[in-house]
Amino acid sequence: MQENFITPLLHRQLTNELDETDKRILLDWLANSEKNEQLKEEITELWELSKNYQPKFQPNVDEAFAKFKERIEKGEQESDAQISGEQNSDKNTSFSSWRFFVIPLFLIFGSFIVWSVARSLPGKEVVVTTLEGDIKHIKLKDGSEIWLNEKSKITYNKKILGSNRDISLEGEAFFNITEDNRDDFIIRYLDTEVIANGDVFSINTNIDSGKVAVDVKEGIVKLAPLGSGRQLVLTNNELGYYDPVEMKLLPKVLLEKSNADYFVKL
Amino acid sequence: MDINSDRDLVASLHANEDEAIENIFKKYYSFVCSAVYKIIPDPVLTEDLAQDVFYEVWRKRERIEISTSLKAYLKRAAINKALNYIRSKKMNFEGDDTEFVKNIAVRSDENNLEAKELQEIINDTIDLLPEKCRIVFMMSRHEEMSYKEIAAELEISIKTVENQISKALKILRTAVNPYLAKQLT
Repeated sequence: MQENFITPLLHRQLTNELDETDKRILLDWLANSEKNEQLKEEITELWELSKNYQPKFQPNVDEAFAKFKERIEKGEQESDAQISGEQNSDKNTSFSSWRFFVIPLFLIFGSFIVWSVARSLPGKEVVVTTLEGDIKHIKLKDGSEIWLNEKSKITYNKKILGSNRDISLEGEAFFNITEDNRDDFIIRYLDTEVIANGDVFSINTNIDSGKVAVDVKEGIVKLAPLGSGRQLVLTNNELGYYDPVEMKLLPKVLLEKSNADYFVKL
Repeated sequence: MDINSDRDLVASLHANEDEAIENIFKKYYSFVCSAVYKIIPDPVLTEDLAQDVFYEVWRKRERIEISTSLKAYLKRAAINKALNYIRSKKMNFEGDDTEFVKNIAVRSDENNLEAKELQEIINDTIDLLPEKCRIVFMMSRHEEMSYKEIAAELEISIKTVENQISKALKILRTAVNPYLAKQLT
């Protein structure tokens, strides 16, 4: 059997990704010769050793911080640019020709800064809760829609645009998130983040076992426990769980039909 | 102790205290660079992306929510930055990568090779892996992502992930084979 075919199987075995058929193929192949067993040992050792890889590259932290400081100071100055510009404007009253070019440019640049700053500033926080038997439909400014199931709560920034596409959820909700080329939409619950962008799915944090469930109807949604460095990528009709007590992502389940269909009809 | 001091750092960041971002930066800059460099082994690019990670933290300083450790949060942000960069470059992972490992050093005293040296050979070879091959291999090895997760993150097929990982293992095996064979027999 060709090495090109067997190496992925050996690797999948090391990462617990072998299905039953491949497992049998691999076992047969290993039983076939001692040489095959040796190749398995070599790949295993390589895999283990590569885990200890550490980059040789060491940055100069002080130099890097000096550069960083310059950047944040520049950022602050840009925010103040329009104000100081207005304060200095009465010093010169004559309009020389270059001002016909500079003033429009300045106004455009100033407007851009004001728009950027306004975009990044936190807006008013909104809290929506539902009582037993209650379902609420919320349409956000970015066009995304949320159906909040009974006994649930969401908290979000009223602006919900750009880097503010970020909400907190307790309970169960169904989401239809609009696509944004720049910013993902993040739904947080305790140490868990669900990251979406142009997807349709539901999240339930009300499960008796304490797990967080994400059920995707359409799209690609990531279930990411913070601090684990891992994430579960879920696609159409896949259901994924995170167990915050055991800090474990559980194997995903393929549904014949997404449960989200029973929650609300789009 | 670390968690408590990180809590203090985050609290001082929320309070917009002057030294907060400096303390966080100096404590974790090397760590963030290391996380990015494992995927993108370019020192200049690594530092640019690491700077962006801290700039984001500073920009969101008063409302940033860190419910686990600061270190874990920064690692996550660093990996996301690296992957966003890779996606923005729209690399063609499907194409045949003709680049190959150059100059793999063969030690003269291979009979006396110690485990530490074997590790060095592995480290050097990882640094010489072709770009796309290294990205996929490190996502599997250091981020412990499954084939399907890597495929979704890089918007490539599972078959391509499989090919790149096999290629990386083959290159590593070629580099260490003379020494491994001696150790295993």
